[in-house]
Amino acid sequence: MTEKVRIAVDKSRCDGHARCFALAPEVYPLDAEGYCALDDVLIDAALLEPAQRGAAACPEQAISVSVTSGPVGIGSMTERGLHLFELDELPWEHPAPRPGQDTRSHGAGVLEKWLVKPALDDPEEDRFPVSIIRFPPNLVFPRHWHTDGEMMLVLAGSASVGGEELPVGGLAYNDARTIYGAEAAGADGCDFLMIRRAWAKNNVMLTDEAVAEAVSSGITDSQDRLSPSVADRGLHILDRTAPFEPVGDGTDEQWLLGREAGDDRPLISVVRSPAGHAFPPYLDTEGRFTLVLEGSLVVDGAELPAGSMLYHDAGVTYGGESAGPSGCELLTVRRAPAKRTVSA
Amino acid sequence: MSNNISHFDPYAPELADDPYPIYAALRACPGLARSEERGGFYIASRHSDVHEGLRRTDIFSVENNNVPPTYDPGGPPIPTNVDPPLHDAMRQPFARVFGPAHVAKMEGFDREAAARRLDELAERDSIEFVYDFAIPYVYEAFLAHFGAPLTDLPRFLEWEDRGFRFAATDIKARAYVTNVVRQEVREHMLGYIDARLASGERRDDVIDAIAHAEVESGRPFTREERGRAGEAIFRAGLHTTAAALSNAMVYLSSHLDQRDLLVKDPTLIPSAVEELIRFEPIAYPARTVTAAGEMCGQALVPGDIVLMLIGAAGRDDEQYDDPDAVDFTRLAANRHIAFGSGIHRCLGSHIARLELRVALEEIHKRIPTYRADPDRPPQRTLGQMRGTKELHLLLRESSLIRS
Repeated sequence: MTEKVRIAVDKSRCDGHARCFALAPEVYPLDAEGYCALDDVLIDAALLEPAQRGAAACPEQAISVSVTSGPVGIGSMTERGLHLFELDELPWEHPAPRPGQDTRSHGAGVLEKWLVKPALDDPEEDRFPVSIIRFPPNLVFPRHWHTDGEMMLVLAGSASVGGEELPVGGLAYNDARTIYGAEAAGADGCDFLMIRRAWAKNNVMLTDEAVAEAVSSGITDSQDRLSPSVADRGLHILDRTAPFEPVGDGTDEQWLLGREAGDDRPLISVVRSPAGHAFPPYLDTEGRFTLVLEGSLVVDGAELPAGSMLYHDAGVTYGGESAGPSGCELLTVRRAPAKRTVSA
Repeated sequence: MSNNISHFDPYAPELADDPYPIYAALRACPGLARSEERGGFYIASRHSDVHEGLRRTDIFSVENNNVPPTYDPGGPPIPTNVDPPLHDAMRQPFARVFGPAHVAKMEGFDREAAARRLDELAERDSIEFVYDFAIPYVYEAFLAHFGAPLTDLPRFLEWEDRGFRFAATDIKARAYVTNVVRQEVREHMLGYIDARLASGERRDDVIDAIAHAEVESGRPFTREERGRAGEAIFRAGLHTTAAALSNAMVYLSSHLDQRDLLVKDPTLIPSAVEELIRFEPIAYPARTVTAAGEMCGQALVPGDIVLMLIGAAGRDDEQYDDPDAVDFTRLAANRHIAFGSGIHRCLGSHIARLELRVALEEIHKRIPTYRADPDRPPQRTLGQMRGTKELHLLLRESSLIRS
């Protein structure tokens, strides 16, 4: 359990007095226009005192500071183990600004909620990035490519990818080094789960010349069309038509992506487990993200309903997990094939 | 006292030396105080009421923000006197160029300008601070940020001499300034902007921001709108900061223990700036009611004017401990609204803070023994701006004290 300080800034009240910055510059950055650049963040507990000082100085009383502690969410990610994300408790943040971009208008209203935020430059880091992205209604993200592939699962609203409408529950995977876009949010906006194998760099291609130059350096241009099959590189909607195959431990698994070892894709599958099935204690060599799609998963006696999201760190022995009374289907994502050790 | 209040006239010369006793009486009135002077107007004077009034756009317009009402014959200045929904679109083009990151780039220029002028003045035994330093320093800093040639400084000082900075404190000057001088300024500013557009040159300055301002994507400001913006930015940026700097020096030059604190520890200066503008904020904007409504229990009808007495809010003991004392260590307890609040909050506050901080830093380094001339007390002004017309300073240690 690690205590964190949560700062929530009511941006509609911030008038740019910049008193928070004057009194606690280490906590309150300003954007280019002089408004508080924070939205809703968790910061280190050591910064509680300056955080409170800056909040007290705000003439609009737009800043609230609270201390949170708990076994779940980002606040506890310093520890190794099983993390259950309290999605409503995790803050929305503005994506980190890029150089030359002003933070207030940055991202055209895009918000980001981090579930797993791996260390950037730590060679020991074995977690992969998981976040929920919120696009405002009708946002069109320009053509771009990533240095790493990207899984997206629509949680609310809708998105279009490769010209196809992706409703709630729709799952897509865009390969690394493939130009695509515009990906667009529907009329109600879009919340989607985004998972990558590693931190990726976005390369926005605003002109045809930029696209041509990228292609000449070995980047694939999808021309915003879906690939014929997942065997091809490009844009894919993962439609869950593959058969479930028995794993041998009483569960069945449907492979959606990346089963072939050695490629640069994450491993995405759905595990189906009958009612009451108990998973024997196990240890994996890779971390695993899980979303309960159907039914429920029981962990240490707590029943986690559909929609629950969990992350199992690698190298930790887990036990006491079983399928709920109506069984469960679990979307699981790993960054690489895992070796599992099952205890008796 | 009630009689006093019903005849409260911010332009009354006898109030200019010390308006704070009547401000205290105004704060003690329930609801909104009412004066029958100058055509009649309401007065918000408690911190919480002024704060609320400045933020309310539901019943108030800023198209006229004067007592008595004054409308610019050239159209509402942009963005200061533009109401929603157009306001945000007309302010946004200037947000970055007045933002703290951009403004910070001006520090070296401002410091050099302050140091050069102070080193010249330091040769003398006495100076008149307002005209010898505050006005030319602030104008020079303004011209550089604006992007206008510094050789035009005499032209700007001439407008100043023709009454510009008294427009907020003297009703006669206001009429002349509004109808004549401001129209000249507008044309002059348009000269810079037209020339910039014709040259095709892009620069990182205010002229560029005005020249290329768009109300919305693809709808550039008209030439007339560019002129209204140029003049408003000129007016909002000059005598305001010069007045704030002069007011600060009125206090410091007669409180030498506080002066010495800043000489000994210049790191106090940023918080001293905040405290001194809390103590004597300069601008008292008014609002005109355009939709019937209520404020502080007072029913208001279209045409009513409410004066937002920020100077009284800064001395509210409900908001500040010991509000009539200047304390450079107030820090987080200093939630002043000297720059206003809400959508019309001072766009140039980061420039004002920079100019004030740099000036006070250089003053306390280069002429640290200044003090008020006991024979020539400061000439203060009131109205809708708390200002200073004359401030005579002696620069030498006590050996030059005159009997």
